[in-house]
Amino acid sequence: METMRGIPIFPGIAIGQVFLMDSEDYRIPQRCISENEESINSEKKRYLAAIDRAIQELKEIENSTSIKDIAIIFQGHRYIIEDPGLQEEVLEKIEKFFYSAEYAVSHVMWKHRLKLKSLEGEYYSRRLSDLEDIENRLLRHLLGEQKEDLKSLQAPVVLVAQDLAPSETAVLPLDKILGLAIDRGGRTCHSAIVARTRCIPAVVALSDCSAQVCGGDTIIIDGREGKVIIRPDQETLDIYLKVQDREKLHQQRQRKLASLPTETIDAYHITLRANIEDNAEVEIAVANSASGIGLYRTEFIYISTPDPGEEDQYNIYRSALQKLDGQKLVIRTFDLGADKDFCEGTSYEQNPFLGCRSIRLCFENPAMFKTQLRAILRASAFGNAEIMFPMISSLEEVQKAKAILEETKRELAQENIPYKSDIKVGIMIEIPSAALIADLLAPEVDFFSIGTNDLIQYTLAVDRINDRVAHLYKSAHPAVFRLVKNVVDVAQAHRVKVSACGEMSSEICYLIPLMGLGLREFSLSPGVIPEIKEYIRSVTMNQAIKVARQVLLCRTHEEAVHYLNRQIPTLSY
Amino acid sequence: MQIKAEVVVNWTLGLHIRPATKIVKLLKPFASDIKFLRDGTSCNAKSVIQLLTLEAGKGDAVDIHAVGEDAEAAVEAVRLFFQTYDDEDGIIGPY
Repeated sequence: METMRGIPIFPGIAIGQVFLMDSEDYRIPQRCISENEESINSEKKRYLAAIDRAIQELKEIENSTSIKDIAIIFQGHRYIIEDPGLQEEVLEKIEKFFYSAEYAVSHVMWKHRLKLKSLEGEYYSRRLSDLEDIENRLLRHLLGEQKEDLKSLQAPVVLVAQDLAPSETAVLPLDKILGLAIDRGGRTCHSAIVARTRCIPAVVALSDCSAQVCGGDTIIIDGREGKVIIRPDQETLDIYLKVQDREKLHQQRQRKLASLPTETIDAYHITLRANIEDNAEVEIAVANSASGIGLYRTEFIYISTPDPGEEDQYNIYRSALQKLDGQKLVIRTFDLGADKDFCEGTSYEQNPFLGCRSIRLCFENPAMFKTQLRAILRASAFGNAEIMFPMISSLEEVQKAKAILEETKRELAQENIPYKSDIKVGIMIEIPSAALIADLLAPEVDFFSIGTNDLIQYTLAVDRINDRVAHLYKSAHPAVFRLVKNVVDVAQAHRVKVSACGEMSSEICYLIPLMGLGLREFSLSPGVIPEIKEYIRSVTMNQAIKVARQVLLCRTHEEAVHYLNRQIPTLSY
Repeated sequence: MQIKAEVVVNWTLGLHIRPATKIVKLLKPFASDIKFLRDGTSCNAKSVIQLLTLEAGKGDAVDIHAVGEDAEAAVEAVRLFFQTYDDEDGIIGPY
């Protein structure tokens, strides 16, 4: 049994079997067999039969290729499978520990992978792929028709991975994922956002959890404490089953608040909306009592479909609006580039976050940009849609984007296609220059949305997906609070609506000072809305204002966090 | 009969799956018990997976330990292999 610690991402307890992404292709259906001689013997026979089939298959591959180099690699795989030492290890696990054949193979191959760990670079990765290949071949032969890869899971699993790119999360069968344990990542990484949206208990930044488990291992994810427990003993399992029950009651209680208003004790109303990436999440947002969608990350439409044309997009936006039944839908135009790949002819950039991404990419691809704007405008006739432009850094950029929007409106008018003519237009404030000239931008827009994820990154010059500097990404840095205060003050003076939509608002200790600075509208991952709502209902705005005032006096992130950690727990009644 | 000898890995990628497979193929016909030793680790030279864990890279010396009737011939075969084996660069395939 082993406990590992990381960053807690979404509260809740997941108890299940590991699906080790990258290393293994198939779910291990059963860890152990019945502890009697008959089961042991039949399991051994299964394994030996699978070995024979695998060996046969490898012989055929060897003979079918005329390229010596390839043939010899498969011959090497065959020798490994035939190796009596290896077979002994697997058979022993079956006989003495009652492992199923699949789990025994998974476990033994994992142990051999660990032995290779101390090798560096090229040796390691090549030999690792050999062992993974062999393991998957054996699993395939053992599982036969019953094999389930990630896309065809029949039973839920806990996914353990080194990292999950947006393109990978887009194809996960999320309803079959009980929990997530990720080696890398941080609070705003993509896996975190997905977990908070889908209410999946998750822990990231575990460093090398994926090397400490094999497929089929039992694992406990404690998403509140930020812990994972690998191969728990019975006592620990019993304890966590109880904690799991408590967490479920907790969540049920929060769901009951759905019909109640999100108001502080002293009757200040706070609007909580949801951040989403695809239409399926609209339902999740509504189920978690979001007052509409504050951020639709439309680039995920681009990531999941190769070339979404106007019709496809129009249908998506229209469908979302209809599901929302009058509630607001803020559609952010494509924020592609950097960690969200735009496939068409992208050349390598040394600094993608400072490069041709987002609105800049849209200006360079006017056809793509206009197609999206046309689709949004056409859909706007069916509900309460608003448009938001990302990564604005200057007055000229807003004006240019608005000009293209106006042009698109004129074209639609000429084609006699209906759209909402007074559709509200806003911008993300996520670049420091925009935050500093908020007063010049205010007259141009109907609303600001402060994107704290990127604002923190650009202000502190820290790449939020770079492991080496992840510890420097400091949400409570005084510069961040000062910039937010500036934007909120300007917005209030110019009567422009302002909201915050980054992961910072998902954390109560940061939400309170943000409220105290004057923010009344937030857009969050849907999964955290009930908990945040419950918390807001238990504090007063007066307290939030005091907290904000104090935080503005802190000289460092650490001072602010120290203060907040002491103060916040004392606030709720 | 017990024979010992020392050889050196003199190709770039070290004792990876290709040379390991060739060594196992070479030594299978011999009846003797043959071990390779390096840096405190000892392994059965007739097992590919065990050879891989020797972590023998370019320039590393490997001790051979053969016990049995044909030990002398086995060690000679190994010595010849290490002298003449040419690990072609840029292998194609899944690696």
